[in-house]
Amino acid sequence: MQKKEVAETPLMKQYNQIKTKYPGAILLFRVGDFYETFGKDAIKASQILGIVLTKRANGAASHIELAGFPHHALDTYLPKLVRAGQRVAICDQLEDPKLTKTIVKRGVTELITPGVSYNDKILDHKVSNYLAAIHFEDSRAGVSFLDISTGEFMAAEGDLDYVDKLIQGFKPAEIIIAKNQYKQFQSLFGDRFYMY
Amino acid sequence: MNAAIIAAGVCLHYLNETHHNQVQHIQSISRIDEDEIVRLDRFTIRNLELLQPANENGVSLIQVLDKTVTPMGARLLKKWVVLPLKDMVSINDRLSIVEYAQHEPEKRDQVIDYLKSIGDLERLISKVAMCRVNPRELQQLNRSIKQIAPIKLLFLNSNDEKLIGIANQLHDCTWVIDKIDKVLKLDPPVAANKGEVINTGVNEDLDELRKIAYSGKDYLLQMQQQEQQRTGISSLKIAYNNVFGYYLEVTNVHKDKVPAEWMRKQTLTNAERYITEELKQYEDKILGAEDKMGAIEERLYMELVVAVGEYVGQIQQNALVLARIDCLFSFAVLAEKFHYTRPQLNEGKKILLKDSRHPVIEQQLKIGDAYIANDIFLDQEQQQVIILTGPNMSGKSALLRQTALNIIMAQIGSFVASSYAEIGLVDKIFTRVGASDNISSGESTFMVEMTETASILNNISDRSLILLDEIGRGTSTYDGVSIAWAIADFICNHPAKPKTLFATHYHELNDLEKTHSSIRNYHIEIKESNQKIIFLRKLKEGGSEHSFGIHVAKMAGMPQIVIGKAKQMLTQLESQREDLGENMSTKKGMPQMSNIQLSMFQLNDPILESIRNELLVLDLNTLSPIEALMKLNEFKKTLNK
Repeated sequence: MQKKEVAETPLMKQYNQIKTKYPGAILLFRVGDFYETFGKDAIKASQILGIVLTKRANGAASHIELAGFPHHALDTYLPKLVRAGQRVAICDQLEDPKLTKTIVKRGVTELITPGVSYNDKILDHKVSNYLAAIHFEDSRAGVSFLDISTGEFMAAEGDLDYVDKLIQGFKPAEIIIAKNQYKQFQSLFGDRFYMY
Repeated sequence: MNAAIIAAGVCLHYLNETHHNQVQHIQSISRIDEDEIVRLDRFTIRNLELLQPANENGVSLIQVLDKTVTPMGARLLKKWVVLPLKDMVSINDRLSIVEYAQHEPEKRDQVIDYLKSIGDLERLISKVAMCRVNPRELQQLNRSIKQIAPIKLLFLNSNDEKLIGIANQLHDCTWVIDKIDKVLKLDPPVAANKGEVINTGVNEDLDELRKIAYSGKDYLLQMQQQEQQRTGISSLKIAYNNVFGYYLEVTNVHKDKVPAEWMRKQTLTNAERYITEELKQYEDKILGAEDKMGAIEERLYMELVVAVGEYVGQIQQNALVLARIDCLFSFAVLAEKFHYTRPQLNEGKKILLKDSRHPVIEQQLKIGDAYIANDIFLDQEQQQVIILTGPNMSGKSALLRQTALNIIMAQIGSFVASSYAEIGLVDKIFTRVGASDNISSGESTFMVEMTETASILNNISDRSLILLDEIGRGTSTYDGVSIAWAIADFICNHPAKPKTLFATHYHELNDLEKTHSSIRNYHIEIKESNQKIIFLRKLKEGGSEHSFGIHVAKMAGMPQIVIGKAKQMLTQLESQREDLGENMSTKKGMPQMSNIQLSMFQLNDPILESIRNELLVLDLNTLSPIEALMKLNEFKKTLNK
C-alpha cells in the first residue's frame, strides 16, 4: 500500500524495510534511548500499555503516529504486550552511533511470541509454556510440543482424537499450522483458538 | 511417525525464525507413545475437571493433588495427570516410592526441605544455555545445585534400592559449584557490567584495576602529601571536576613555588589550577579503570556462563529427577493428610473400590461434614454395567466421577481416596457427563451428546471404563429412553465388555436387569420425612421407584399451584407408564442384532438407496471384470461425496 509520493525520512525508510518482514508483530524500533512504535503498532501499543500516542514528522508535512518508552523499561512493557496476545519484534541498533556517519544499522534481534517466551514476568512458574505444531496427514496428525523455557521437547502421532486430547491436556500458548491446513485445523478445533 | 517428525521440525524452524538460536538446552526429543498412556477422550479432561474447574468457583483435581514444593514438580504433575500410565511396572515403581516416603516421614520432610531451596532449576539452567542469565540468577543456580549432594547422600543411605537407583542418577556437579564459588561474588548485582561481580584472585588485570579504583583516595592523598613536601606548598590540594578532571590547586600566595613542569589549566580569583603528567596519567588510569573493569568482568562472566553451560545436560537430568521426587514425595504428604491408601493394581479386569470418596468434593465440604463413602465394584461377568437411578442432587454424578478420578489417581502413581482399592488396569476412560450446549457452533445439547456418545461407542476396548450421565436428556422422553436402552444393550453385548456406570432418570432402564445378566441396578438412598428429602448418599442395590423431581422443585420454591398440578399430572402419567412398562418387558427386548445388520439397506439414506437400486439391476452374467471394478469405483465415489 505505497502511497508515498512525499519523501520519506531515512529513518522511516529503514523502519518500513524492516516492518515489511514482520507484518503480524509489533515492531519495537530502537531510536537512541527509546524503543518506538509507529503507525498502527503505535495505536495498539498505546492502548495496551497505557502510554501516550503522539506524532512524528515523516518527510515534508506528513505525520505518523508514534508511541515509545525508554529502553531500560523494556522488561516492564514487553510482558504486557505478550500477555495481550501480541507478537513483538525487537529491533536494536546494531552498531555504535558514534562510529558511523550515515544512519546507524538496525536489525531485529528477537521475535517474541506467546509460545516462545522465557521471561519470568510473562511465565507462570507452575505452568509449562508450550509451543505446538500440528501437521495433518490424511486422517492422522503429528503434533509436537516445545517449551523453550525448560527445553522440553515432545512429539506424538495418532488419530485426530488423540491429538485433540494432547492439545487439551498441554494447553499450548501457540500452535503453528501450515497455511494450507487451516481448514482441517478449524474443523477439528472450531473457534476455540485465536488465530493469526 | 512422519507427521510427528514434520511437526517437530516446524517447531525448531520457528525457533530459528524468531531468532532464538542458542538452544543447547533442548537436548532431546521424547515421544508420547499412545500405547503407554491411558486414553482419556477429548471430553474427559474437561468433564472430570482434571486441570481446570468447570466453573469459576470450582476446584480442579490438580489443585487438590498439587502439594509440590518446586515449580518443576508442579509442571511435571500436570503432565502426569493428563498422561496416566498403563504399565504396571512403572506405576508400581512410583507407588513404592510414595510408600517409602509415607513410612519414613522424617526423611521425607528432610528431602522436602532441601527441595524447597532448589527453586526452578529447570528454567534457570535453560537461561544459562541461552546465555540470558544474570549474575544473581547464576548464584541462585549455584545455591540450588548445592542441595543435590545432601539429597543424594540421603538416598544412598536409605535401604530402598529404588531410591539408591535414583541417587545414582543425580550428578553432584561439584565442578560447577567450585567454579562458580571461585569466580562469582557471593551477592552479585543483576547487571554483569556494573561491577562487584567477579571475585578477587580470578584475574590479575581486574585485581590491579580494582586496587586503583578503590585505593584512589589513598593514592591521591599520598600524592598530595608528596607534592606538598616536594614543593613546600602547604595548602596544596588535589581535586576533581568534570571539565578538567583531576588537578592540583594552589592559592595565589604560593604561585611562585610551582615547579616548571606543572601545566597551568585554569585561573581563579585567588588560586591557580595545574595538571601534571603524573596526575593525568593517574586520571586516565582511574577513569578508564571502571570502564575496563566493567568490560573485563562482563567477559569473565560470559566465560563462566559458557563453562556452566557445558553441564546443561547433567543439570537438566538432575532437574528431571528432582521433579519426580518432588511429585512422589508430595503424593505421600497428600496421602497422609487426606487419608489415602495404596491401590493394588493387577492385569485383571475387575475394579473394586471400597469406601471410595470424591477427592475434590470431600475437600470442599464444611468442617464437620464427612463425605459419605461408597463401595464400587465392576467386572465383566456379574456387574459389567451399573444402572444408577435416583433423584437429582442425590450424588449420582459425583459417584461416577469419583470412580474415574480414583482410577486416574491410581494410574499416575498416587494413593487413592478409598480404604481399599483393587484395580484391573484401565486403558481408556470415556465420559459423557452433564449437558453441554455448544450453541456458538450451532449444535444443540442433544447433538453434542450424540456426537460424544457415538465417538465412545466406536472406540471401546476390553479395558475401557465408560461413564454415562443422563444420556438422552436433550430430546423427547420416548426417544431418550429408547436410545439409552439401545446403548446399554449395545455395551452389554459388545465382545469387549467395557465396564460402565450409567446414571439416568429413566426408570424404564431398570428392566434391563431382567434381560441381561451383567447389568445391575443401583440407586442412591434418600429418605423422605415430613415432605422433605434427606440425602443419605449411600449406594444401594435395586432401582429407585420415584423420581423426586417435584420435591426438588418444591424445595426450590416453585409456586404451590405449579406443584399441585405437577403432582396430578405425575399420577396420571405414572399409571399410563405402568401399562407401557408391561408391554416393554413382555416384548423380547429390542430387535435382535441380526435385524440391525440388514438395516443398512433399509435406511432412508438416498445415497445408499441409489446404490441399492443399482446393485439390484446389475446383471452379473454379462458383466466383465473391468466393468465390475469400474462400477465399484463409481459406488465408492458416490459414498465419498
